[in-house]
Amino acid sequence: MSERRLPDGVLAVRPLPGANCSSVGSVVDMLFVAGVVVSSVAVAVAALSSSSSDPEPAEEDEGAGEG
Amino acid sequence: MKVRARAEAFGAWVRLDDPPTLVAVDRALAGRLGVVGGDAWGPSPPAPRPLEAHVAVTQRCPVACTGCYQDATPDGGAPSLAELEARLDALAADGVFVVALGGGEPLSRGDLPAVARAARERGLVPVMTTSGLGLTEARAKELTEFAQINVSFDGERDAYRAVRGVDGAEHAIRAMRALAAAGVPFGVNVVLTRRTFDALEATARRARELGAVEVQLLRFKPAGRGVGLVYADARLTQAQVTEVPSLLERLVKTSGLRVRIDCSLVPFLSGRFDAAALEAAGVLGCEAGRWLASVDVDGRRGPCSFYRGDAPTDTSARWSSHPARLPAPCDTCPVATVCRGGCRVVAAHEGDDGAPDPECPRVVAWRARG
Repeated sequence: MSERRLPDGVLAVRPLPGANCSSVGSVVDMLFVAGVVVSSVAVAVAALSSSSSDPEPAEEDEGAGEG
Repeated sequence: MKVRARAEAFGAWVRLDDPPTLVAVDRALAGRLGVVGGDAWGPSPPAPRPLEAHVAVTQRCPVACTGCYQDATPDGGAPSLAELEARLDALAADGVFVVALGGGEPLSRGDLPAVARAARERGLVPVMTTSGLGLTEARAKELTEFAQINVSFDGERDAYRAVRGVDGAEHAIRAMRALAAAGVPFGVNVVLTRRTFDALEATARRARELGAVEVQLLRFKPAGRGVGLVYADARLTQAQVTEVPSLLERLVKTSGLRVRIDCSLVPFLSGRFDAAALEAAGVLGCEAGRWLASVDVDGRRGPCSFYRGDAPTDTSARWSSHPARLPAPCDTCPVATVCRGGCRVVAAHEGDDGAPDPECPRVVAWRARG
């Protein structure tokens, strides 16, 4: 089984978007191969954390919001 | 940098654009990202809302697949664009991230690009599944608003016919070439049946050659025209079920494609992974009526696209709360928190939608012990 250490504070990573119209799909690559996705998520989350100190707050979902 | 996020009792779901990912974060990180917890972090958080919705944009389809779960027909009805826009409004208001358009054959609508634009305008990520019939290069160029399109491709010749009763593989291949030429990211949907199973790796190789980025594996579900003997003849043998984890590993390591499984295949992983591994990888089991919702052609919100009954609201509530009353042997299963009891559609087909998934290898072994 591969190493799946997630960045601090990250509970789960679901690669998007998938395109199946009938049932929820989940990428299983992370279960078998150590995480390229996890590394790039770590970088993205770190970038978000630092940019949010100059706050442009996360767009909350009281309706739609495009990021 | 802006980000779309939704507060949840555990923290928040956050949608990243690069890499395209939905990330669950705890409250501390959510707070650092600027998420305001509100009611979700209070003592009585509201019920979970769908992350993803499957929207039937038509009941019309020129292909008469033997096992069509929607029972689509060439003269099936379709909602107007205005009706679809109202449904997208409601989904956006519920905080849905992704809308998967299906049917019926979505390409039978001439206004498909407008539907995709309407989704984007509401902050939703539109994706679509198609048989590929009628998808020319010119048509493909109109579909660039879609984040991804999946083409149904169960293999070539006999493998395709074995699932659908018609040979649509050439249409699917033409569609994939058109999407590749138009620069639209695409994957393939492969329905796992006892006759497509052995050809799966060859099917994935062919899809990769044609430019696919992902293979989505689907368990054959007993719904629509796919019930009774059709289902009994299509479902995987128990030997094949046992082989699923090793087959997935080979696909991940050799196909060059991202490999995605559907919610109903999660029980088949129960002997190989623990819940923590599955949770970290964002794997979702039966999320019908919870993280997943369906919207049928009449606009009714249901638990998942395979539900075909007349009580979608009650069924959504019952299926989404099924994990609170798991029967044996699911109540002692180490992956129960992710699997959530297996596919409710398959259980319902056996006569009791509160029963264990009858094809889960752990359930089969438990029943064999009497």
